[in-house]
Amino acid sequence: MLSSEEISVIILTLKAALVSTFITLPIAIWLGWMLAKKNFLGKLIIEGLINIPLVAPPIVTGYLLLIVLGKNGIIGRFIHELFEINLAFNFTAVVIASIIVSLPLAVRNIKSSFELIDPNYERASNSLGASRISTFFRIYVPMALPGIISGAVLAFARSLGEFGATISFAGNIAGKTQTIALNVYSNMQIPGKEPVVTRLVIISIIISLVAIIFSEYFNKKKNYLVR
Amino acid sequence: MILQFEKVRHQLGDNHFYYDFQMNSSITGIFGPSGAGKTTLFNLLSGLDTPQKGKIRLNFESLVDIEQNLIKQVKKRNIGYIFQENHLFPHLTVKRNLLFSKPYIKHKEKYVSFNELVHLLDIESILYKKPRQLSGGERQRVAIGRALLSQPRLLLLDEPFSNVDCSKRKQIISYLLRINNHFKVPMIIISHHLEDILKLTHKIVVIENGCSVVSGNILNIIKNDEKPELIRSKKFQNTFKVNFDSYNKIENSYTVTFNQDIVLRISNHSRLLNKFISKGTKIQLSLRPVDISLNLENNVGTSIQNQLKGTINQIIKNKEGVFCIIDCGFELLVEISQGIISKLYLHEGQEIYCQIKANDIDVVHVFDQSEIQESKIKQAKIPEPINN
Repeated sequence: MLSSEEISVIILTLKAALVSTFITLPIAIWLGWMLAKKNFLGKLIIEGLINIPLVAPPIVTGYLLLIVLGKNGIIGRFIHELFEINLAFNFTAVVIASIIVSLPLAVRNIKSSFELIDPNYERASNSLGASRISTFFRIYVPMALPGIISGAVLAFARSLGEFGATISFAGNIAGKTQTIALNVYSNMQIPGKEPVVTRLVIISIIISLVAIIFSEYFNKKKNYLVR
Repeated sequence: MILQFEKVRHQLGDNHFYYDFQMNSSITGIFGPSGAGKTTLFNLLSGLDTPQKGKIRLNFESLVDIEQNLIKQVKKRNIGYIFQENHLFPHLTVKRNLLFSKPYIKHKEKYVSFNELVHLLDIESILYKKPRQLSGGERQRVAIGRALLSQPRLLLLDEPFSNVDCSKRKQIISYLLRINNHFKVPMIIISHHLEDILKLTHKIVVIENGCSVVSGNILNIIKNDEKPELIRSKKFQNTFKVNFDSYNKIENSYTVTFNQDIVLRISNHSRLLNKFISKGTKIQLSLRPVDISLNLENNVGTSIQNQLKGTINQIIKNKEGVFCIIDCGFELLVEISQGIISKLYLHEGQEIYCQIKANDIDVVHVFDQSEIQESKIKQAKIPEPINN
């Protein structure tokens, strides 16, 4: 059976993943739509910036977050002075790190879904009197829904497994910022904690597997809906 | 409906377009080869594209006037557009597709009701299906219905016959005439099949190489020799409206009349006709020029059931063949062989008999009398006779 400490680690991890997914999703939908359907100056640069966390080592992402949003960071300093809010080394930091690393995955998936939609559906919608906003919510979002769900699930799964950015930006504070990945890392270094590590690894695998199956199921529905 | 394109210039990449014409018809056909610029014309008219120069007016209201910097928004133009590929929204049922425009027509005058339309288009049984579950003909009907429920003042149909087989084409032509007659909504129809357009209307605009080259009544275009290739006999359709008279049980044929004094017999091969049709019901017929033969006398000893007395209005000789325009009360284009003119000493003004087999007359549409009586349009737009 799981100990209360293990249960609280799992709950904290799921909570951070859920909160970050809910914040990531609208941003990813908007960015995915913009990148798929609009041409604007600096499109490639924005796409590149979004995708940096995909290729850069997570620890680098975490370090950059610390420089930008840390208490003495470029932006973090002003936030701290104005609102007395500290963004680093707390639950908020876990969420922010998750958002940054999962955003490119969600955006890529959602963008490819929007790209599959024939632009003539937008024309048909306009000819029936719908505005651009109305067309976005009544045509684009429902038609890209399988891709959006799949992107959300991938973002959630990525958040669950996040390690490098979290440990450098949020730290490894038990009960506060320690997620499953960080807990496994800590317990691996303590002799006799193998059963705890094994249990958390199994739970991680199960959650990830369910998420991937879910994501694949909706990915296959992408083409089916836009036909 | 009066549509004016005044020196409209548009450029798409390396393709240049120029439209300059005026049409005044309940149904207008846009004819031209693939890639000629027919769809571009629709995009400019509907507002999906904006021209670089010129004016577009609908019923004397400016939609585009580049000089005055006037470009009316798509939704303010109130034009229904049925795309070539239908573009029914795949995530919505037929019913939700049909009602898509409902939130945007709150302040519009409504002349098309949902129930009436569903009944007219025979789509009651498919309301809860998704577009992917429909046949080509059904999808086309739903697309027509969806556009009509946006209460447009003009309906644009881009190649409505392209994704359907021959029998379904006939069905769609019949539905379009039904809709046009019932709701009095003007239509412009694009097709590269001249025979389909001519079954609906004789008012056409010909588009070639991105330009409107000629417009007006096709018989006038042919008479004036403005576009000789339009006369191709197998593509041409003589179209005329008649009144149903009676069913002849012994001959298994129907009798119809034109202007009460011209009587025609039609064989019982059209599924649109039945003996229960009431006398006086309007019927639209079509007939190919090649299916009419000429005779100097009224030949009684023949199996051909229809012999219409007429006068040769014009004899046209061109590279497509030899044709006569005969006035039988309505004008008929007749194709004859080169040698017949000298053999029968045919000349303009001569009286002649047109022989037509009952089997060769095609029934395009039977106008339901209730359709004619129950027209609910508040905009007074009366369709013009096809052969004017």
